[in-house]
Amino acid sequence: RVPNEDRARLSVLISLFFAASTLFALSAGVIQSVGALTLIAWIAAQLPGLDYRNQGTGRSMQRVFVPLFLGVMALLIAAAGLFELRDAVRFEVVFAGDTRTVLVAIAVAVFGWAMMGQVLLHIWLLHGVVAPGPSLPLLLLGVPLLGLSGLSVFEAQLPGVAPWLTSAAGVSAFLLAVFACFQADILRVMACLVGAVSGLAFLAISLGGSGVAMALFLTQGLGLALLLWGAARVVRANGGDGDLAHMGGRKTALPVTYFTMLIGAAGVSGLGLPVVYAGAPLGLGGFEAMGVLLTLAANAGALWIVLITLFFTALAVWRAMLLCFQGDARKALPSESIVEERATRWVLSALALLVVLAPARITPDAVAVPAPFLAAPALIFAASLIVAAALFVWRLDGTGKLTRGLGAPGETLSQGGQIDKLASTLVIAPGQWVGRTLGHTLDAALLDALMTRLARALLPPLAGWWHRLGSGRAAPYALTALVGVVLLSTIVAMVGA
Amino acid sequence: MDNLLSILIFTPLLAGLILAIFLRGDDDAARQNAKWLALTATGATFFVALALFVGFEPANLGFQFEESRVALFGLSYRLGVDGISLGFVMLTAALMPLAVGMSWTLTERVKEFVIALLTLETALLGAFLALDVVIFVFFFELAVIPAYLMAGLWGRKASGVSALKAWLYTLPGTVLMIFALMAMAREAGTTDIADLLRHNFASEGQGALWLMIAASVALKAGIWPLHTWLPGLALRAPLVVGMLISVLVLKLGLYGFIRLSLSMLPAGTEAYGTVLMALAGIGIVLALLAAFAEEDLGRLLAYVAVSQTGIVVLSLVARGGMSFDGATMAIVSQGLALAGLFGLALMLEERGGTREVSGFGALKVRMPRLSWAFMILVLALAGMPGSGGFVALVLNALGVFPVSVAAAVVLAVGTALTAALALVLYRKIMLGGLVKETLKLVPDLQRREQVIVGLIIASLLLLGLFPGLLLDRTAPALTELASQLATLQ
Repeated sequence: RVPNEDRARLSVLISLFFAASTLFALSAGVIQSVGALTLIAWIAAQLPGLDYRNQGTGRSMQRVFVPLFLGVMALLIAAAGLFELRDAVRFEVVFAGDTRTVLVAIAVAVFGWAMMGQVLLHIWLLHGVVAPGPSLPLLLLGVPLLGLSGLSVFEAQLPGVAPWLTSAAGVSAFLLAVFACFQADILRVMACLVGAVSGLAFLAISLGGSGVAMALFLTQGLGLALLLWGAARVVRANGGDGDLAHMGGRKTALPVTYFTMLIGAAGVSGLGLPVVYAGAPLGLGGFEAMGVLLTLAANAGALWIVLITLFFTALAVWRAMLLCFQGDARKALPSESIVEERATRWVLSALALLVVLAPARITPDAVAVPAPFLAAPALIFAASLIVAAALFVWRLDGTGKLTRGLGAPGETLSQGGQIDKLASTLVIAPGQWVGRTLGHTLDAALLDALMTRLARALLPPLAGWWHRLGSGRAAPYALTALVGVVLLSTIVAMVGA
Repeated sequence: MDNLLSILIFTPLLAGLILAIFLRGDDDAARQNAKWLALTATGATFFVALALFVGFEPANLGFQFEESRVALFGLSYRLGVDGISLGFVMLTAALMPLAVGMSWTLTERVKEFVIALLTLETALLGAFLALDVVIFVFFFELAVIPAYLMAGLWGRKASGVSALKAWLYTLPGTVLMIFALMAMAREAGTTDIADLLRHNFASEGQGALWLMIAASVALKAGIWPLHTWLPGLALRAPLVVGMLISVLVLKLGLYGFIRLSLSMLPAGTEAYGTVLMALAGIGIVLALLAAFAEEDLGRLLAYVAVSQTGIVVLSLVARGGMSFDGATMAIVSQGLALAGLFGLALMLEERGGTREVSGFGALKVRMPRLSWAFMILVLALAGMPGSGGFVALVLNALGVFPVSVAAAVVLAVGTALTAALALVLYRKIMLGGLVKETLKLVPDLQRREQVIVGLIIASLLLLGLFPGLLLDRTAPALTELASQLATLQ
């Protein structure tokens, strides 16, 4: 439970987040968007600071803010470029393939990359998981959604760099999906999945499919929201411990949470969620979005990477679900554990129903989707479930003991920690070395060393002169006054001449 | 009102003379009298500056409130203010009473310290308002004497060496500037700044003149790589003196660059502007990296000042109307934010007995007001919306991009690094574990400190929410300068 003193702050932060998001949505210009996004980045950074399990060193706050702020700065560069390049009459910029429009495109891409938590700038997703449970979907899904919206607005600036973006986004989504399969912490699994889904949406935009990108993110995003809320509930019931190795058999204690997460898992893994699609009767809209994505990807030669990413995404979801809820409890719930109270059951059930029944009118781009691509999501769903169950069952070995490999999260270092070490080695340590070298070594050497020696040599005679002035004798005063008069006269004479 | 500028300039000096002549003794009463007189004088100066600000007519592009007298040896005493100098004057007048407030706990040689501070204010205001190059150079050089004396005499061990070193740094620049200005005065046949601004100097000579003046202002303004005197001085000097030097004395250099190099020698800027932009860009990043590795708060903030100077220089050399506005806003708002951070560092030093970043921790729960103030100021420095820093950031980006995309990228990277540094500082000082038992019961901001910090934060928010208050007055003159430079390109 979020401590009382932090609830007020949490409420304020959530309200501010909605206000800033509204400001972003209503922004008439890019500069207002930059301002709104900067506020959102700061608010997002405050949420992990409310981590009641670990009243913080603030490292999470820093690691959430900096990547997001980098993204916002990239948008500012893009804004400056768009401002300079805009057509005076139409106020729009057409991608012309010249250096400046390419740079604008890159800046827009960097903005989207950071906001949507793609590889190298995905660190904020992993650190954001320590935010209080109620705010997790807001942080981990809301921010990428804003990035996606921004990217959609600037879609026209991306054509020249689209092939590179497609490849990069595909690789990033794949990597994040794979990372999700190796995470020890259930919340970090979900965070990586958010990144993977965002990466697929990014890929869709690079292929010109902003409609399908939004459809994909909304359907899978709704599923992820249920998974995030549910995972937060599980972690809380587990006494703050999110390690999958310390779970198992939780569906008995947390039935509503289990059911909620099951719906979310179905949405993410390809089965999709029931939506009203183009006026037709209730259908499973996720199929449509994934089918369109696969079609676009096939046309661009990125089919296999999308398929594999979707498979690993689904696998990661089922792995987490099975490890958490199935089998025997590998570690008992803490005696003081707060399991599902009636209020929690009602809230989670209402959320799940809302997600399932809310009519999301999805109109993906007008793309003719071949039948195999419509069937592919269902096949991915089935395959991933079978593979995960087989791995899970096989790993149990009849004794409930986990061994090394895919199902042994306790043995695997959390990927976030490894990235922290990598960032420290590749970025922070060299930066600090440069800073120390410049600030302490180079600054103190060369010109500064010469000046220091000169100052040390001059100080004693000057101090002696000052002392003599204070002695009250006339001679030092007279000499000083004479030197002053000579100097002043020289200057005046030169000026006068 | 006649003689408004003279009143503005010499009120602090008059108060200093009164203190020097009439104040006797070094007991508590004498110290209090000295501080209160200084506060009254600097406060009065601020209100006179406010009257100047309110009475300033933006549509009038020339110099206003002009005063002209013949002084000694035929030299002319001429003063005036335009949109370019107005921002500098307001920043100086606003920060000086706050500097007096920050020095309130000083107990050693208070009278002398206060006299030096008042003399510094007179020198700074005189330089910003001078309309004759001789008067300008006089005040320009006069400013360093009290600043470095304060750093040397009230500083830590070996502060005298650092102060003398800083002065030795600026000495060659002074000589070069005097030679350059004399050459310009000889060619134009006048030492009047307004006339020099109208004069078209020979293109072939502008390059050399520009370099000579640029060397001087680069040393004074702490432009990389001629900045090394500043961190060393800031390490030894009291934090309030570090603030005065890092915020105000550096701005003196920038003013000299705008008034002399940019405005009078456009061909020189055209020829060497790219080099200066490159140096400024390198300085922005390298100074921030050095700040990351820094432990002493005074030196850390001095490096941040060097970085901020680089940002302003970058915007000025871009020579666009928008970048000039951005530079003006950066000078005022970032100056205020930096001054506030120096003030908080001083407050932390008084409580913790140290200026090391690692000497603090877990202060957020113990000092919530200071923690909030710290967060607001570091975010303002990083360009958070709602503060003047954001306005400066946007204007600079829009103004610099058309001139150089690389410079715009460096600007953005520098801002992101500033934000990262800001959060690292906040994290290390306000969060984490308690480092010393003596900090367990440390008191939060007292009333005096709340007033100082509150005024600075209020000013930053005012500039952020109503930037027109400043820019409406400064922009016309800057736009005029930008258009003149554009026609010459």
